Amino acid sequence: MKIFQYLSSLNQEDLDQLYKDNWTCQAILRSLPPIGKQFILKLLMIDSIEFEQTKIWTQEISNQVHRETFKKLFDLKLLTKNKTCIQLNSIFQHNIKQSLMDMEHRVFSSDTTVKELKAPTIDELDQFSKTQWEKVLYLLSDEKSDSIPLISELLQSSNLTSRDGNGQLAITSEGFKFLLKDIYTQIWTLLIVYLDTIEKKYKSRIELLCFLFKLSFLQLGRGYLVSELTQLQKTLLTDLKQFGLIYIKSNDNPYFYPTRLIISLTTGKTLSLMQDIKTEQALSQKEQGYIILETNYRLYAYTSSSLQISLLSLFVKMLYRLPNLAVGIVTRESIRMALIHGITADQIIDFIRHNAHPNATLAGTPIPDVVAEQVKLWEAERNCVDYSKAVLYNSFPTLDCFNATVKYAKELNLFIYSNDSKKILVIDESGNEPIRNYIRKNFG
Amino acid sequence: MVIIESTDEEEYDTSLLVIIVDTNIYSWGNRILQMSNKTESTSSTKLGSSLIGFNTFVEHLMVFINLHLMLNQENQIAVISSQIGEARFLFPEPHQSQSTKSEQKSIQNIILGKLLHLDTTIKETNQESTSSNFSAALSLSLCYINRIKKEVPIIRPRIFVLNISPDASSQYISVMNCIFSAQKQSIPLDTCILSQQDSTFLQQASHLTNGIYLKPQRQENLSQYLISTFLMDTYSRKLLQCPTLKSVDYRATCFCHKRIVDIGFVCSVCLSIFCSYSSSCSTCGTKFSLKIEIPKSRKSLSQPSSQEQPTNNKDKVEY
Repeated sequence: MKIFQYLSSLNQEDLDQLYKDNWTCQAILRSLPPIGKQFILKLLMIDSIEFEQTKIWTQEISNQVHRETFKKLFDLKLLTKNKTCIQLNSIFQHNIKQSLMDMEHRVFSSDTTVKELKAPTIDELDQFSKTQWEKVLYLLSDEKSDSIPLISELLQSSNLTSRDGNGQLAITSEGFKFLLKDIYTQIWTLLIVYLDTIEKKYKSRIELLCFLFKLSFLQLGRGYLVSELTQLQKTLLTDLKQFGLIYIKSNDNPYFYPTRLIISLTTGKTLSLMQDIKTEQALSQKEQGYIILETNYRLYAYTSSSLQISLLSLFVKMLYRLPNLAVGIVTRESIRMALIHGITADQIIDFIRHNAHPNATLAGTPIPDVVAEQVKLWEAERNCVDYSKAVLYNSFPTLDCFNATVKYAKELNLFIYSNDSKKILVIDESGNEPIRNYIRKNFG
Repeated sequence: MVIIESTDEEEYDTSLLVIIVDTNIYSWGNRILQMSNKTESTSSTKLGSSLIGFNTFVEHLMVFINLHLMLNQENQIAVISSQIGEARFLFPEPHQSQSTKSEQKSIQNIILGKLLHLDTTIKETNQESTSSNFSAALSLSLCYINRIKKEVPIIRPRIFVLNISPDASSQYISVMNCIFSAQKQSIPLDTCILSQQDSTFLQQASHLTNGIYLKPQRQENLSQYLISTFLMDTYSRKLLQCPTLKSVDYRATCFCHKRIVDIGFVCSVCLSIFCSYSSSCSTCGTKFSLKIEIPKSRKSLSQPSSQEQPTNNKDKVEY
């Protein structure tokens, strides 16, 4: 997961600081891979163990997993090695043990969960976080949309968008790849950039991280008192609202509501909170396939989401827009525009394949071969110049010498270019030595 | 929203753990007697396993439950008590769905409250049988798993039995039926035996369902056993080493007197087991026409034949 990469990059001090927070420890424990959890559990109640002895924990066939898991735990500084023994990070160990004995499990004190009169329903919260996050993605694909200053700044500093020649913001190749990832990876990518900016501003990314982890233990559909938070956390809250992670009605409302996004952020599972899995699956299925691409380069997108349409318009020339359908055509120009932005042909083909309409997938190929090939050809068109390092030989003494050298170079497969009238020979850089020796030996 | 599923189905460790706790008041009462005897005889048998009482046991169990819920946000739990004459849900309560674990804090409190309540109810009922109704508890848990599986198809269920009472051979048939149904749905049945005798039923159960069977030697460290062994989710079990049983007691119980038999009679039609010969099968009604008079003779007809000599242990059952 993205967050682990980030945590692994922190130094020992910062991590120790982070592990001082009880909720953070729990959040990290539950987002570890299953085997990692089991290793932690085995070490939880003991002081230290010989590293050699841990080998018998895993079956022999899964040695690979064993090594990888240990590496991960060491990277996160959850395990420390002392000569031949390993032991759990003592702060982490202490905190997990503490929370085992805790029967209350309260993130914030109890009176924070008083029901507000007009509390938003879970559906409203979902809707809010969804539209909010779509807005973020929308910023990526459509430069003309109303920008949210914080988000567009983050997008730029994370290299997902960049200013082109005209000073217009445009999506980069990175940004396109970003759009293909699942929502939690997307959120973490932005959050990590956000963490870095916070670090520059307030020197408090550890506190923010703890806060994020803590928020993931809250209950969906419940309100929590803003006044319980520290000053810094309050400022963070308004930023998190822009990501769609937190819902607050207005800035002076006394309650804030966590959304599904923040609650399942640490587990990183799109399928969160049991009861809605079925509906969510149905939804995501509906959302997934919407593109039909025909052999005549016409593209039909059964969608009403302006985000999806603006994504498509990155490489498709849109023709008409109907209530539930958008029609466009793939042209050389439209593909070239995308290529100029740094989006590759493979990315485009992958995108169409992943979002193909179920009927298109049923019929056989989600993307007709002729179109896929043509897109690749259009890409190859831009790459008709091939660079390679070379050496130029000129002023050969005689024509014989020139011809013999050309012949020799061709034999060695080093030949690139030659001109008889000017007696010029260009060969591959690696061939400099043998060719020079050959000339010296025979004509020198 | 552009979501591309990147869920590694394999790495999915969300599990539903159904814990069957043996709360037989007689067994736990006996335990107190054993423990006081032990202290009197001042550790003359130090090698024997150290025992724990019910209170300590509940403490260990709570830690275990806590940790299970901590491991994964979507982990679910159900606790069923198997007690004298009946089985009951300790958690969740009948009309409270798992998803409203809004008061996660009170899972422990609910269980504790129910356990306190149990004690008094048992004192009032004065039943003749003193064995816990394990088969009922097992059926309840299978039904519950079935229900949750329908709601959440991706969850991985497993059953964990904490047993202290001896096997009640009268429940053999129903227990075996439950075991086979668990086996069919590939639900592992883990067992932790807190008494000193092995349980034949549970050995077979764990063996058939690929579960873990463990009889902790040092019960004062029960949570360590629970944490390091019984918290393993079904995914990790494929990769990690689990304790295995060296030998399994496969003896069956006869259908007529519910006795555990080494050697017995088997109906050739329905495979019911009997400890003594009768002229017709009580399960399927098949009439056995052949009378067996000479015990030593071997008759391999399609009739039940007898094998009275206990020396021949190779073929416990013959047709």
